[in-house]
Amino acid sequence: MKLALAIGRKEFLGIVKTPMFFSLMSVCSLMWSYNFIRSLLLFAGRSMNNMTEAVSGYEYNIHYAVFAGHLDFVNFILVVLIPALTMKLVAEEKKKETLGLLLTSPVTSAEITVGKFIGGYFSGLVVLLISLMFPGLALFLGDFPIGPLASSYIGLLLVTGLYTAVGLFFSSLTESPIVAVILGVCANIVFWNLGKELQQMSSEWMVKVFEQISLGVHFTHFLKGGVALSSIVYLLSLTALFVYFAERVIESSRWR
Amino acid sequence: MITVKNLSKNYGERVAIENLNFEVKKGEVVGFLGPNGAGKSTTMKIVTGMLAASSGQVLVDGLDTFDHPLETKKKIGFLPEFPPLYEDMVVEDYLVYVAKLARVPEKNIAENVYMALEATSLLAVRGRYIPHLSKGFRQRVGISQALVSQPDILILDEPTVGLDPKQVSQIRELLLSFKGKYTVVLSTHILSEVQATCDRAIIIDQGRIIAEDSIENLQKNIMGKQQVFIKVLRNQDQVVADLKKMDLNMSVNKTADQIIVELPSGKEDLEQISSKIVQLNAGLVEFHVRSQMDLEQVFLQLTSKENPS
Ligand SMILES: Nc1ncnc2c1ncn2[C@@H]1O[C@H](COP(=O)(O)OP(=O)(O)OP(=O)(O)O)[C@@H](O)[C@H]1O
Ligand SMILES: [Mg+2]
Repeated sequence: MKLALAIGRKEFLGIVKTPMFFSLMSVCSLMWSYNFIRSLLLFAGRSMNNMTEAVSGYEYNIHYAVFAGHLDFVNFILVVLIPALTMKLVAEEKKKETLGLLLTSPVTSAEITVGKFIGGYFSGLVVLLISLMFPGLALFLGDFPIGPLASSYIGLLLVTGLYTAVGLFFSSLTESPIVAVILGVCANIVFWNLGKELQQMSSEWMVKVFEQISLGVHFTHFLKGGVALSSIVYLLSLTALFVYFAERVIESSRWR
Repeated sequence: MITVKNLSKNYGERVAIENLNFEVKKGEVVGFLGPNGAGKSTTMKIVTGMLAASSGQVLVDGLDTFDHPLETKKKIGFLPEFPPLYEDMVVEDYLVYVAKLARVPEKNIAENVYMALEATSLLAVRGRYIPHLSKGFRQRVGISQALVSQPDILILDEPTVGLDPKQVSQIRELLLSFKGKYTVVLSTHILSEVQATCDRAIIIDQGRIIAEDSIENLQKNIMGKQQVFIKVLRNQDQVVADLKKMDLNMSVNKTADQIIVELPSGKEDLEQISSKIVQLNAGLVEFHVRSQMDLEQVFLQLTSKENPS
């Protein structure tokens, strides 16, 4: 485990200490501030107009009117950004032939994979932390119950883990970081939209199954303030599954 | 220290190495010699656990590398064909990371890194970014990476490839300084390297071992021979018969127009042969001695025997 952490630390610094990461984070902050401030102002204007109504469901209103939009946007960015952060984790090592160092060191493939996952995940956490600045600031200025916001971030923590695992898996499949990004983004989008179309046309039980599979459905629960054990278990197992796949691929590179 | 038993590896249909058997004893410096594509790198990758063998077994210190990967990898420092350097790291940080991967205890890491930097004369560039280093220095970082865990065994795949002559001789000196401290296996297709640094050579071609001996023996048995090409105008058969009768350790063959004698190096035997022919009054017109094949010729001879193309 200590070794996995050492690998994780190296990978984390390798992702975060780059000009690319800084510029991506600046672009994200810019987009998020624009979107956040715009919806905040809109919301402020609307609650001025109907004061009476706003008092009763105040906390929900700001959550839905401002935070939910922001959180959806954050999630959308993560879908695209996390594969870009994780693209090099294994692909680059294959291309530059540095994977051999890991494979000939007294390290197990599991330690390598978990280490790389940790590195990728922590860089995702940096993104989440930046995204938290905006609702954090709003909370600092006004006094809202933080329940739904907290549950949403639990959801974001979980999906970030999943995106990282998926990104890591695709990075392990190829020598090309670009291919890894494209496959990772596609996979995330598929996970996200699974069932959306099918819900209309399939039978009752199919709808049920796809509701359980689709990320969108689970994430919406979190956005609404619910922390369902089933969602947590589902997202964690899916994450573990992809980390496991990545481990298998890394191990199999000995068996060419 | 290293025992390789019936080792084979196929890449799909392509056979890279076939039924290799050899042993490396503790403290030995062994040269793994062969032309391009002979299977040197493949063998080394299997011994270090980077690749799995198709069949056969590798024992390191009596432990099977397949059943005990962690224990055996701990004992080996490996410089692959392409040094595995991270382009976004400083030399010293890189070595610290490699030491961690090699499970060097936390308290020894600084010391080991210093030792590895010192051994490869890298102390002056320890703070530099790896991509800013010249090829020779990168190669040295590769070697110091193999040293940093203070392993018992060093496996170096073409440690001097692509370096200028000065750097080559520096690396060779470094290799010589390893004698007695490490068990070393180094691969190369340069013979002088083996002559300069190794106790023993394993010559491999097309995935098979075609010769294996100490440098001394190789020189004595194969290289220590000289060939004499003799042309006479008359009585060629008589000359051949008489030469064969002489009590010398040599082989005599004749072709249409010349006699080829192969015998151990030395001038006395040559004198006896020449005076014999002159005695016979056979009309000696040519007496051409090709002395001592060097390792280069042996190598060419050995590796072209099996491979007519
Ligand atoms: N990844 C691979 N896939 C398919 N064939 C391979 C692979 N790696 C090596 N080979 C083949 O295996 C054989 C042995 O290759 P190897 O790299 O071990 O040779 P080598 O002795 O190290 O040669 P060189 O002196 O050129 O480094 C060659 O015929 C090579 O083409
Ligand atoms: Mg090679």
